[in-house]
Formats: sequence, C-alpha cells, structure tokens
Amino acid sequence: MKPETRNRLIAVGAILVAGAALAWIAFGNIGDNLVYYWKPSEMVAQGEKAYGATVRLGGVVVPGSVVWNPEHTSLSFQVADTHAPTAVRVTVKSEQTPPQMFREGIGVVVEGSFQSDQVFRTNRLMVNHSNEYRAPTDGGMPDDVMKSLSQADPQKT
Amino acid sequence: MKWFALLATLSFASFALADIAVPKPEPFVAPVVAAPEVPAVTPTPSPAPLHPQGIEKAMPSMGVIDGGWAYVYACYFLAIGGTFFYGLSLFLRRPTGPLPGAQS
Amino acid sequence: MPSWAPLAALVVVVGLIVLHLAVRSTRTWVWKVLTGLGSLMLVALVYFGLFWAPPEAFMSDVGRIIYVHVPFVWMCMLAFTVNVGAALAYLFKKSWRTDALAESSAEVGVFFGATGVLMGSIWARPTWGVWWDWDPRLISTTVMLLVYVGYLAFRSFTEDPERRAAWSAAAAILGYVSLPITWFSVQWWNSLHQRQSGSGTMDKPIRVVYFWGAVSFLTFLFVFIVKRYEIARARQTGALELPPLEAPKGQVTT
Repeated sequence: MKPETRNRLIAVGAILVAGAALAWIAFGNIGDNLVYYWKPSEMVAQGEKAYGATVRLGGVVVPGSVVWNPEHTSLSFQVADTHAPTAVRVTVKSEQTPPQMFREGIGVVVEGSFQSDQVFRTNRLMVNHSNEYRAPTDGGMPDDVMKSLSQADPQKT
Repeated sequence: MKWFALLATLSFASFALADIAVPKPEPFVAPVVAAPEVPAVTPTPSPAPLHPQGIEKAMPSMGVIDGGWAYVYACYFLAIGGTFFYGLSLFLRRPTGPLPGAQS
Repeated sequence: MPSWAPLAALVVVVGLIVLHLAVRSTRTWVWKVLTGLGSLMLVALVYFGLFWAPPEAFMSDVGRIIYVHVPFVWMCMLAFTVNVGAALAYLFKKSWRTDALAESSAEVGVFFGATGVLMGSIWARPTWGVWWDWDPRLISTTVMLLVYVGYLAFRSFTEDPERRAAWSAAAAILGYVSLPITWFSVQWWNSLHQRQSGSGTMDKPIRVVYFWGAVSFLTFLFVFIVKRYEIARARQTGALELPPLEAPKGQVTT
C-alpha cells in the first residue's frame, strides 16, 4: 500500500471513530448515567433509596426560607427545582459560612446526604452564577459613565 | 519545560496570595419573615443614586461579593505573565546557528 | 457574544497563518506588527478590564476576571481546531509543514488552556465558594487538556518522523472529539459552570471589553503558533535530517 493511501485510510478511519464517539455521547443516553447533581424532585422521587448516600443536590434557594445564625454558623434554607411556587422543595442545613454571593433566588449545588428526617445536611455549599453579566443598576460607577452607557445602548433594560 | 515549571510555581504563588486575602464575609442577618419581593434592588431610573457609595457598600448582605481584588490581580497576573513567559520560552528556543536547509 | 464570533476568530487566525506560510515576504514583519499591536491591546485591556468596565452586579469586581479567563479558553479551543485541521491536511496531502503546524498549535493550545483553567479555578473560589468541583464542564476541560498533553508526549517519544506524523494526526482527529464535548457540556448536562453567554445576557460595556480581550489574545495566538512552527520546522530539517520539502530562506530573526 502506498503511504498516501495508508494515510488517507487512517484519516477516514479516525474521522469515522471520532464521529461515532461524538454521536454516541451527544445522542446516546450517556447523560442519564452521568449525573452531576439531582434536583429536589428527582431526589424526593427516589424515596428511601436516597437516604444516607453522599450526593449533590442542585436547585434554587427559595425566597424567604433562609435562616442564618452567624453566632453558631448555622444556616438553613430550602432548595427548589425552579422558581415556580409549586416546585418541590428540600430543606438544607449547613454549618458553614455561605459564599458571599449566596442569596435568595440564586442557584446552589450542595454536597451532603439526605436523611430520613427529610433534611439534607451539607458541608459543601456552592453557589452558581448565571450566564448574565450586568452592570450594577446604581452606585458602583460614576453617574456620568452610567448615563453615557445607557445612551449608547437604548435597548438596555 | 523549565518555563512551564516556573509558570506553575508563579501560579501557585498567586493562589497562595489569593488565599490569604479571602474576604471575610460580613455576617448577614437574613430576613426570618418571608420577603416576597426585593423592591430595594429593582432598577428604578432616578436622577439621584439610591446608594451613593455603591450597592456593594449599601447592602453587604444581599449576595454581592465585597472586595476580592486579590483574585482579580492573580488572574491578570497569570494572563500577562503567562503570555510573557510563553513568548520568552519561544524566543529562547528559537532556531539558531546556520539555518537548516538555507543553502540547499 | 454573537454565535458567529468563534467562527470569525477561527477564520482570522487561519487566514493569518496561511498568509504567513504561503507568502514569504509577510513572514518577517506581520508577526512583529501583531506582537506590538497585541501588547498595546493587552495594556489597554488591563485599563479597560480593571478600571473602565463597570463591576458586575453580583460578582462585583471579581467579575472582571471574565475578560481574561474566557479569551484564554477560547484561544485554547481555536488552537486545537487549527491542530485538527493541520492533522487532516497532513493525512490527505503529506507535508512536513502541516505536521509542524499541528505540533505547534497543540502546544500553544495546551498553554492557553492550562492557564485559562487556572484562572477559572481562581475565579471559582470567591464566586462558587470552592476552588474546584468535578462538574461536567470541568471534567471535560481537564480531559481535553490531558488528551493534548498526551498527544504532545506521544510526539516527543516517537522517533520515526513518518510514523509520528501519521499516527499523531490520527490521534489529533480522535482527540478533537473532546472539544465539542467540552463546548456543549454545559448544555447537555447539569453543571455548576454557567452556559455560554450571548449578546442578550451581557451588558454592553462588559461585552465590549470581553471582545477586546478576545482580539488581544488572538494576536498572541497567531504569533505563538507561527513562532512555535518555525521551531518545529527547524527541528525537522535539522535534527532529524529530513529532506526539506521547502527550505526556509533564513527569514528567522535572531
């Protein structure tokens, strides 16, 4: 076999294998097996099987549910699937000072275990940032700069 | 390779720098009573700013990061230092001597 | 960020590389001009990023890291795309130049990727609250970088240049699978890392500086790839005593 022919065969073979691998990952059900976190509804649906195992739980902090005691660094809040008021909620308790961005309504991922008393106890609380990057609505930068920027982009909300 | 080692060392130095400067979060007291809305944060265009010192100063407890410049400096240091040192490594590895194939 | 922006960046950098390789008279000056331009843009980026741009609403000043973190990872992905293009070109039409280009772009990509991941880790500490967590985006990026480190190791351990060129090109095509997985990981799976931003999710001043950062590092991507390419060419024609397919005409400045 000529080296050129061999090289082209290598290329075609590699492309086929690479394409098949990518298609398998993109369209196969590999996503069902690779779960980074459970949503509260998915965890509650597991029933008793969810108790005790170290898992990650992800969702949004329910507004009005945060109770923070800085003296004892005890934090308690509820995590819901979505912002919908009817979404399934799970109570989370942590003994940690939360990251500064922690607030009501923000997305969180907590690592810990769900107990039979329906409380998720965590020692690793992570806050995620959305893909929105907004300037502060006031303060933070001089007013004249704010004015020139908002004039530059009238679509800005 | 040694340039990568140097880069890695510097990077870890910047990690250490950033770690020392972890901003102490202000102890915040979350509302125990349900607060259905947060009207203070809603962007109402007004001539006078609501928080003259900036929103971060006015409400340190509302989920806004305060400070953290050490992290920013560490990243910019990495960006500029990394670009510089990789460029330097290319310069030091540049082809020297009689250029191969120049006379053929 | 408009969805065509990565494609436009790819077209620009590939165009510049092709120009550099094909038109001999541009080799002596284009990279110097772009190094100067890139350095000036980088200095300006520090001003724009640290002082001119507004802080982010919630991340505050820490949000300024986006202007260097995202461009670095973009440059990494662009370099790996150049790498797979060169690998394919080599396999379909054998040339030591595309082999050298594949080697140089992979190394430059690993540099940008590793630095970008390091910055991401620093950014994660104040925002997420942790230095690292094995979320899909971070796993896939780590795997991608390891694939290309392995690719470079394979190249340096293989003595026979013919075998090295052909099999590393095959490895490059297989390894490139990791790039779309990394790119789409935030859309396919639940992750801690945010999704890609679009024009609609970024305020204008933030977007403008973000673009500025991407263009600044794009110039360095080009310069690094072509300078590393010249090193690879010199090694091929010198140390390995290969018959040069095209003799460089002493254009390399000392």
